[in-house]
Formats: sequence, C-alpha cells, structure tokens
Amino acid sequence: MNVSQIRFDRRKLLGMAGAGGAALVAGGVALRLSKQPPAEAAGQLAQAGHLLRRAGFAPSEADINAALGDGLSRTIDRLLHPESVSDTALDATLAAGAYDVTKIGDLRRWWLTRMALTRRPLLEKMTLFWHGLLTSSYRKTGQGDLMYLQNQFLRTHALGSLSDLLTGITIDGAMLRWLDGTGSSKAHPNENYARELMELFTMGVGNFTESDVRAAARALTGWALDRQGQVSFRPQVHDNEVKTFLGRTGRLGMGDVISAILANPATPRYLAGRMWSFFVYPNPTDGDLAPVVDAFRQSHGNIGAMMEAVLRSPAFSSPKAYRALVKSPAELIAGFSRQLGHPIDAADAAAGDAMGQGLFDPPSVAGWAPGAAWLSTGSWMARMHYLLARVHTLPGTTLPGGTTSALVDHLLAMMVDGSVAPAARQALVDHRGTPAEVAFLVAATPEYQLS
Amino acid sequence: MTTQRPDETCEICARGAEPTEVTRRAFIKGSVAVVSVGMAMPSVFSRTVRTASTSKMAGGTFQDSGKVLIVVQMAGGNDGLNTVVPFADPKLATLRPTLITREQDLAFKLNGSLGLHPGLAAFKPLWDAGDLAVVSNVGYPDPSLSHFQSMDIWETMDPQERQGWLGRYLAGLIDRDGHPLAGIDITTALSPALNALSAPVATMSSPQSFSLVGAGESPGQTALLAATLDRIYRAYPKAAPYAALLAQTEQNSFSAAKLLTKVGGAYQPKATYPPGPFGNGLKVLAEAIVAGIGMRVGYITLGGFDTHRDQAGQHARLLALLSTGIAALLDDLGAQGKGSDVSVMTWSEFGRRPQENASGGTDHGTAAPLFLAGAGVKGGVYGDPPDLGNLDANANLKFQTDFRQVYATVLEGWLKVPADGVIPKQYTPLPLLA
Repeated sequence: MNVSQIRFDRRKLLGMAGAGGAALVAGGVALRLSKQPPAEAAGQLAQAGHLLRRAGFAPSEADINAALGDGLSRTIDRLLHPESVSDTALDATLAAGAYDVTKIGDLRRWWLTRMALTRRPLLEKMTLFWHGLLTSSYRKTGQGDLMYLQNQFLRTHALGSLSDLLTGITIDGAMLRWLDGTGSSKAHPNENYARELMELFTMGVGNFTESDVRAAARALTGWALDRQGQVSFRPQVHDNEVKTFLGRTGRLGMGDVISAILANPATPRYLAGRMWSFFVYPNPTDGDLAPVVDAFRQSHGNIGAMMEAVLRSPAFSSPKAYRALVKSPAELIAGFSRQLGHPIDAADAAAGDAMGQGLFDPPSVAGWAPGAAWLSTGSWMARMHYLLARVHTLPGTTLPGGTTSALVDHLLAMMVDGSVAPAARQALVDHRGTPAEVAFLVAATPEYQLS
Repeated sequence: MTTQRPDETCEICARGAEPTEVTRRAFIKGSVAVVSVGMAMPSVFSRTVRTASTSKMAGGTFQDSGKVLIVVQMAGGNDGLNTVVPFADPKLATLRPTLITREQDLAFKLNGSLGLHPGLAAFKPLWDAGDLAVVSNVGYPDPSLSHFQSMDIWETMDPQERQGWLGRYLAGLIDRDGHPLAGIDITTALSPALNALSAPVATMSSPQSFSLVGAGESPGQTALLAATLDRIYRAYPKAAPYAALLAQTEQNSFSAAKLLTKVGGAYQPKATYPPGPFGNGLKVLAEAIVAGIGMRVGYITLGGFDTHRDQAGQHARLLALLSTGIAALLDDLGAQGKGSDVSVMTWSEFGRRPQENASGGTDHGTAAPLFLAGAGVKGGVYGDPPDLGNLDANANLKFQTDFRQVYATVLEGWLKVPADGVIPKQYTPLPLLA
C-alpha cells in the first residue's frame, strides 16, 4: 500500500490501537503525512481496520482509504445498504469464472471469490454469518445445486426480514434434506428440524419444552423436496389437527410456527447474542444486547436494523472489542486474497478443511465453534502451512520493492493496523528472507489471526 | 484439585528462558529419549522437567500408569436398540416395525436376550477372546434431548465447567511429564472432553500436516522462519487478547512438530484399517502409540449417528466402520507388542427414541449401551437389557448405569488414578477391568 494515500478523518478519535497492551510501531509514514499526533491517526487506522474486518473481510488498501475518506459513520451506511453500491467488477469476474456450482470445489471458490472482491462486504459477511447459523452441509444434501441455491437465498435475505428468512429457510431444499423435513408426515412426524429451529436457529436451549418440539414437528409436516429439487406442500400428509405450540393453540401450520417463534421474547435475545458473538465479542451482557433487541422490536424483526444497532453501539468500537475475535479460516483465506490481490484458486478453496472450516460443510448442525477452537495446535499449524505455501505463488507484482523495513511497515499498516509490539516489528525487519517470506510472517503474527 | 500446578510459575511468562540441555526420560518405557540434547526446548518442557526433578508429586498430579485410553465418540446420538439388540423382547417389533434387526440377522448373541447388529461382526474375535465389554443402559438423570447440551454433560459433567473430563486427567499428568502430545484429538477443533486449562492437548489430522516443511521452503529456511515466528510470538503482549492460547499453541505446535520429525517414518501398520478418515485417524493414533511419543489419551470422532431418516443403511455402515476400525487398531497394536497398553472406549451423547418415526428413522432418545475393548478388559455384558415396557414421559428409555460410573471405571481400573481427582462426585467403578 502506498501509505501516502491514506487519508485520515479528523473527526473521529477512539484511540483503540493501544488496546491489549500492544504498542504502535507502524504506519509511521502515514502519520507524518497526516500531520496529526500519532496516537490519533493510528487510532483512526485501527478503527477503520476494525470496522472493515468485522463488517467484512481483511480490508484492501482501497477499502481502508475509502473508509478513512468517508469516515466511519458513512462507511457503516454504505455497508448496511449494499443495494446502493455497484459490484460490477465482481460480477464480471464471476461471469468469466465458469464455476460449476454443483461441484463443491467450484462452489467454494465462487464464494471465496465473492468475499475477496465484493464491494458489499457486509452482505457477504452476513451470508457467512447465516451459513454458520441456519446451516446445512453438502455432505447430506448431495450433488446438485441445493447448497448454491441456499447460499443465494441467504444472501438475498441476509439484511432483510427475519420472518422472510426463517420462512424461506424452513422450506429451503437443502434444509429440507439436511434436517429431514422432507416427507415428514402426520403418522410419526420427524422432530429433527423442529428441534433445531428452536434450539439452534432462533430461541436457544431451555426456552421451549419437548411438547413444543412435538407440536412444531406436527405443524411442519407436509413439505417435501422432489427429485428435481422442487419443494411442494402435500396437504394429505400434513397434520391439520389442533395442537399447542409456545402457548398458541389451533390447527397450526408453518406460518404459525414462525410467527410464534418471532413473538417469543427468547428469540430477539438469542439472535442478538449470536450476532454480537460473531461481530463484536463473545459472552455479551444483557446491557450490550439491549439496543439490538430494541431494534428488533422497533423494526418488526429487520436484520439490517439489528446490525445497525450492533455496528453503531459504543461497545462495538470499544477496546474490549478490538481483536476480541479469532479470524475464521474463511476470513483468513478471503482476507489474505483481498489484501494481497491474488485470485482465489482451487488450493485456496480446499484449504479451509485442514484449518477447521470447510465452507458448505459444517461439522454439525450447530455450525462452527467460534473463537479459541480455531487456534488448536493442528488448525494453527494448518494456517501457517497454508500461508507459507500461498506466498510462494503470489504474482510477482503484488509486493512493492524497497527496503525491508519499508515493506514491513507497509504490510503491518494494511494487515494489522500498524499495531504490533516493537519487538515483533524488529523481528520482521531482522528476518533474512524474501519479500514473500515477510508477507508470510506478517500474516502469521498473532495479531493477524485475530479480527 | 487436579488442575493446580505444583508451583504458581506461569509457563508462558517463562518463555524465552535459555535453551536447556536436558535428555528427558523417554515418554514411554523402553523407547529412546525423544527430546534430545542440544535442542532449544520450549520452556514448558524445561520448567516441568525441573519441577519433576526437584519436587515430589504435588497435590493434584497423577502418577502415569503408562496406559493409553482411546476414546471413540459416536457423534449424533447412536441408536442403542439397533446396536445391542434386545432380540428376545417382543415389544421391539411393535416399536420398530421397519427398523428392527431380527434375531436371525444378528452378528452374534451376547446372551439369551441381547445380540449385536450385523454391522458389528468384526467384534466377534474380541468377544470370543474376552476383550469386549458391553455396558447397557448408560445415561444420567433428567436427560437432555439436545445434542449439544447432552454432549456438554458427558464431556464436562457440569455446564459451568470449562475443562473436559479427559482434559482434567491430562492436566494432572502433564504437570509431571510436560510434553505436547499427551493428548491427541484427530480433528481440527478440539473436543470439549479434552479441554484443559493448563495442559497442551494437540489436534492433528496427520503427522505430516504438523510441519512447515513442504510449504515451498528449504529445511534451512524453514528453520529461520520458525525462529523469527518464535520471536514474534514472544513479543505478543501477555495482556493482549488470546495471548496465553496463542503462545501455547505456537509453542506446542513447534515442539510437537520436532518430536514427530524425530520419530517419523518408523511405523508400519500390521492390520488393515477401513478406508477413509476414521480408519486413517485410528492409524495416526496407532502410530503415536508405536512411536512412543507419550500419548496417553487418543480421541477420535465418528459422526453421522443422528439418523432421523432412512436409518437402516446409514447405521449399518457406521457400525461396520466402528467395529472394523476398533478391531484393526487392537489387532495392529497387539502385533506391535502394545496390546496390553491400550483400551478403547466408545460413547455417544444419547440413544434414540424406541418408537421409530415416519421417515424410516429415529428421533432423539436417552440411555444407550457403550463398548470397552482391549486386552485389559474383562469381557461380558454389564447391566440389564433395556426395559421397553417402562419408558419415561417422552417415551424414552430410563438409564441404569451413570456414565460417570464408566469414567470412574476407566480412571481407576485402567489409568490407575483416583477418580475423584477428575469427577466431582464418588461413583463406584464397574468390575470390568482386570
């Protein structure tokens, strides 16, 4: 990155870069050019990097400059309204890519390419959030385009109405197969989807009874996925008898199940907690979640409104949130590509498995365990191995020339907000190796494993 | 407390201690010393070595029996009624009109009322040798039908507890032995059963994956990179997010990699493992045992038991994989002269509903049987056949043996450590280990 192009917004100062005891060492060129006290300018770089990583993926130089130019508030507006942003470059790349989305390798490459290139990063990040929450796996849905269609469905509704999202996912082809909704009939209804819909997707364990599971399973009978991938409702196998679900009694069907869940106070609390843990930090307090739950109520369950409450919360921009999450493997792979500019290839698409996150292949219906689980010995070693192998196949023009310390500072500014311990920077400068190795070492830092 | 260290020194704080020249006692009896002279050992090694030589076993640490426990998790909730089949109970046919395994189709009978599903035929030699124990109706009071809540109960025994039961055992051991591969989980995300606050427990897909070699660098340059990386990780402030975890992960990964490089290549399997990730994972565990890298708990998960739909074929395939895999592991280790060092235990978060559903599957249930296998096991059936006429309010089975009793059995009878150092309450061991 040509740091002289970094523009700083003087209005905002949150000074997060000192969080966690890390000292500021890089971005020095930019700081001089900005004619600002270093702490202030560095704080803005950290704020911009923080927002862009959380509401998207590790930011490119262009992403950072746009955020610094626009300021955080306008950047949040832009992120929350993807329809206002043209994504023609991505569309052209995808159109030229000839992806066979019925093949898992191509499907993963297609999605990672979206993450790496999109100018609507929050939309893509929300799609990843929903994929980990309302999840399905290609291992059970099988060949065909069911996972692709589910992914497109999640993207379409990612920032929209929760009611639309939950209704659509309940009768989504991949989901009907993954959680056995298809063919469930009134004789002995299948409980799988009914239970996970409440336990994992909307309410959380402890907020419903086994009787609610049975009632929801009965209300959801009759939906079926045929061999052509078409979903239909078959009234003759639907249980139309009276049942009681979450306190409502009647001849309940799918619509009643979704509306009763959305009317239950556990639902906004649970969903706000899942959003917070994914976008801000783990284990939020009720106080943290209050504005997000309020946004749910005031917007009648609009996801964009909830996300706006998350991103504009003071806690989101607090030191507690800075680097409080571990980058998932998908974030690492897509973000590295976004920052260094290499196209997502077949090896990138395959690399997540060894790190613990194969897209479209969650380990269970609970999605991926977040946080510390990404940093087990084996998955950390897989990260290192991937990053080292990856820098050897970068296009030669990706990394700028110049002295080692200039390269180090350039990469540190872009990749870790210029904020690492002085001794770490010194170790990078002292390393006797190629620019590609320096890029590897910056990507291997503890700071870069965090979001 | 088993998690307290003998002294309060923080091993992460001690990073950067001078390289220590130590020839460590071999991790497993009779094998060569695996951490050699002149190696710049991470301080987690050097400190615990010092501790071992200067202090008696402090409270909460465990004497190493030299025995290895292999734990196989059958994830998703295994259908116990179609694993150890109560073939003599006429109620089974009513509850399982399509999913019943008939008496004539059993792999073999355990006694007059129970027999094994045909997919478990590979267990026959173990049963005949008296090396297979079946514990029936294992569960716990007030059972949860949630996968994740029930797994949590089995893994940690207490929802407020962050450490797993195996993690607590390993933490006690590692205080004395201090090496990076005492616990190995064949996975990328560690099982909560192995979570330990003070013990490194490794995840691994293969020994080869545990190295930077092969990522396009010469060995010499790889060593330089590792050295720079170590400087960078040491510089990461102790109060910064995830500092202890990142430091420990980096340190354990590289020390494990060095260990594996030293012992690599010597192992040749002497049995045929089933193809695929489960068989390959078992082979990695066998290699760890044969190579003598000090593994005491090996963990592997076989998923797919959540058979809500079209259960028959899927369940049969999984049981065949389970039994052929475990049989191969024990055959292999027997042929390698390690048979008497290893026991295998299976578990699943719950069994399945006695009444089958309309999709040719079964929904979440409660109590189920589990297996223990190995030369140290006294073969037989422990417990009664499931009582299909006495179900709970959710039409599920009532348990007979608490799973913590099984844990106590393994801890005291096999690993030879006091169970109350791991399990919060007293449970009587079952008499199934020699």
